[in-house]
Amino acid sequence: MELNPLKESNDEYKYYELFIGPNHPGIEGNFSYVLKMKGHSVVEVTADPGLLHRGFEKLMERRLWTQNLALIPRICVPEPDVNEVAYCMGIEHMMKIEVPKRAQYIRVIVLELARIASFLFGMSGLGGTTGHYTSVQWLVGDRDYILDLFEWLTGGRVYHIYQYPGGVKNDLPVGWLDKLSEYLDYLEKRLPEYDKFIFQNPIIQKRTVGLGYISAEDAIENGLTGPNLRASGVMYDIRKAQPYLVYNELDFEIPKTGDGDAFSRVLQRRLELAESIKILRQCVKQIPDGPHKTKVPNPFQFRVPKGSFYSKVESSRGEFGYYIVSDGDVKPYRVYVRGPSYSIGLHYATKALVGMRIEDVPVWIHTTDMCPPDFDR
Amino acid sequence: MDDILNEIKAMDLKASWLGDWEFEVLTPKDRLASTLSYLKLKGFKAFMGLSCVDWIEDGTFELVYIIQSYDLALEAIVKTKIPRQKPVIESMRSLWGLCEVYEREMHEFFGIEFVGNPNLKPFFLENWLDTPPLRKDFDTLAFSEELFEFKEDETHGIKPPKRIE
Repeated sequence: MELNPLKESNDEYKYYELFIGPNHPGIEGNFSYVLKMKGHSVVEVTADPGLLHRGFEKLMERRLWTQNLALIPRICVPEPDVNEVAYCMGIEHMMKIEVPKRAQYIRVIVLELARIASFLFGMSGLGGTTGHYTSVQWLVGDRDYILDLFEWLTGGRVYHIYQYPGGVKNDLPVGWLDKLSEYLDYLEKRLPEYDKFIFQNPIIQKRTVGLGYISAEDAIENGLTGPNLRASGVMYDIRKAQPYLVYNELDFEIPKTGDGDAFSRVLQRRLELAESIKILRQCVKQIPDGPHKTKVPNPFQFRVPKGSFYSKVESSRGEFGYYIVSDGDVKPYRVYVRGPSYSIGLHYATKALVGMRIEDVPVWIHTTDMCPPDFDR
Repeated sequence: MDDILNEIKAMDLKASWLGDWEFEVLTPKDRLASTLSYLKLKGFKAFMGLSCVDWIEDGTFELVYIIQSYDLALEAIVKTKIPRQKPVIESMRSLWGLCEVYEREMHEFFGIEFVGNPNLKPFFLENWLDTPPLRKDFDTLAFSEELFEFKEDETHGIKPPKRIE
């Protein structure tokens, strides 16, 4: 009888297939990984997208330039504003529209609020996968106040459809900035509680410290962007390196964690949340008076000059890009959407999850904060 | 920052600025690999995306490679054209392993063959037998009219979709 446990046998029950998703609390959105398992360990990973595919890129070719604004927020559900801003910035660059200062400040406020909301939502997902359910309720509860602010500002809680080429649709309501400051005061008081309860919690630390290490070379080679890249030690932020809107007038830092493991990815997001609060406070102080939009042609005569442009925005997950091609018509000729989760979700995860234990897979997925709607678009 | 553009122009390639932080390079199909590997050596190490534009009137597909340099804070957009009939191009997965999934997507949505990519299986779509859907000659309206039934009396006042002209 063979007693060597390391020798491979031909037992057909040795390997089994396990679906993580499409309807699973350990995955974000309707997307699945098919894992080939041996005991507790992952042997092979296959990404299986398609359930969320809505064909946005094709749909955009059939709609007017401005009609698309109601369509594209759906590409990334937890943080829809980056789509609108990146798309509008692309159009404005191609049409050479000058956006008023006040509108740019409002855009920064909306983007940073959306970033905070998305960070809170992403970090609450980590609580779900580690069995730390109180953090889910805390963080989602605090995110709800942001949705209230958005509802007052734009009329929508999740999808805002607030940006428009040349500015924003409406000016800030009277008293909105005071309410925003009140919320920021509240959130700042909550941050030490989060630290004590979530980030210094032995359960979270035990599950995330040292898990899924990504080196700086790996991160660049595999196209990771945003907090995942910065957590690996590459200090690149589009807001600093290629400043858009009014980010060059605002004073903020890029926090450095640089260990590359799952815990540093979570910590990176937590530290960036504090920076976003700092940015918002400056915006409240510095926002100038003036118009919130410029005059643009009416939607049926809205033509973008011939050409192409790649416009990008730093979202809470990384670089969100729109490659826009126009042939001078009232509709876009082609729009390509670069979602920040594409490279990590469809490519890097199939390599990084191999060898991992089954209970770590959802934790890894949540610490990278991937968003399947933006690659399964 | 103009240095890199001048060096590319010295290689007999067309290059121009698109914005403050990005430039485009137009390269023939057979010089794509050398252009991309030259740019990778120059610091454009991060692969950001691969897209395709269907220029149906010219009978060409334009492949668009978006790559980024973190040191220079620049984005390079490398474009190359291939014929629309029998679109075949070399795979770039030896330069970036990441290209494999992007090429798989372009294969599915445009029907482009990438020589050297072993993994061109169906990706997002399921049992798709029609024209690749992101091509300009794929008619979404005709497709949905064929697939779904729109009966006047059963639509409860909802009209079937109409094309915006």
